[in-house]
Amino acid sequence: MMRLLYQWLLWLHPPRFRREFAGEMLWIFESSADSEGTARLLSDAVASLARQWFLRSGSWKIGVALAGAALQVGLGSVGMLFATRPGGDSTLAATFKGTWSGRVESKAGVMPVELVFGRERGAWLGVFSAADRTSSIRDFQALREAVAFRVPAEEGDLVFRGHLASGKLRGTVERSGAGIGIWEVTRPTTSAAAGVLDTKRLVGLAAVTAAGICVAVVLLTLWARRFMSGRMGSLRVKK
Amino acid sequence: MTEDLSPFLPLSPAALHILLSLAGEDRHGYGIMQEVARQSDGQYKLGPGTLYDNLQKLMTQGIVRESERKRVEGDDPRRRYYRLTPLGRSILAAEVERLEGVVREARLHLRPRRAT
Repeated sequence: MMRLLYQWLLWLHPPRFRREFAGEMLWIFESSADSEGTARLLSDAVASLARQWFLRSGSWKIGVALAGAALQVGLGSVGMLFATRPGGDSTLAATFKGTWSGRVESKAGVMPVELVFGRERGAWLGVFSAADRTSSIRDFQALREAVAFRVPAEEGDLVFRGHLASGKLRGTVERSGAGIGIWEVTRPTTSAAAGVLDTKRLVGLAAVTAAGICVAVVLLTLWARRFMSGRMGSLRVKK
Repeated sequence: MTEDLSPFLPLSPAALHILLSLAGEDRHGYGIMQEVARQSDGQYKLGPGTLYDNLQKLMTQGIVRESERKRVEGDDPRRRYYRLTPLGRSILAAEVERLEGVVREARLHLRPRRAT
């Protein structure tokens, strides 16, 4: 049983070492198990296994490269989640920025409207356009999917409150605290605004991933060159 | 002809004991382990993993090579014998000389001081 375990440990060694020395090591195990103790020989084999793979074979570089790649994938996934998460200011900008068109329904009837949201120097700008008027949007507020803004008008400011759902902004319109109708707009250029990626973050993630891949490639190349050239140091004997 | 052996020195304890065990005669792996234990009065014991890791390095560096010693009847075919090369012998001599210097220096400094 112990012999089988020892044989298995030897089999796990790097092929080059195994081919050269496994037979002798097994022979020593058979010859000295009683005098040396099987536990000591087994622990020696485990230590040898770690030493051969991690120190001698250069496989630790592959391990580092794989760990680096895994880290990149992990960080990339977290970053993607963060980049697409609604609530961040720049994500918010990506969510609402652009032209939205739809309608306002009130007792007076259905009125086609167009809303243009933009952001400049950290402040929201907007334009409200309807059949009979064009006005700037004031006091734009957005928090995650919820949005509110005011449209100045002579007969009393219109206050729009609503939220984003399934790519549509919809909500209620009030004037002087009284509800006068509902509104709904869509942005034809994007489908699901909440899932829009932040371009800058995406480029950053791509750059970090590319750097990680480069490091992995360099490590693998160094390892491969060393492996191909025989790996062991040459003689330095001056004559 | 002078050989610069400094890149090989100092030897690790395992390498030193292996070279010492091969200085007298060619030995197989188990023989090296037994000789190392004998030389150190059982204080230093090499496991097969450590032994072959060192032997691999020493063989690659040309310090030890496999011996073409004829097999004795009853020898296990897995047994291989190892021999010190001339380079290995030079390195061992240089290491012993270095250690003599260390011992000389140690004795000098460990000599009981006179009271001043």
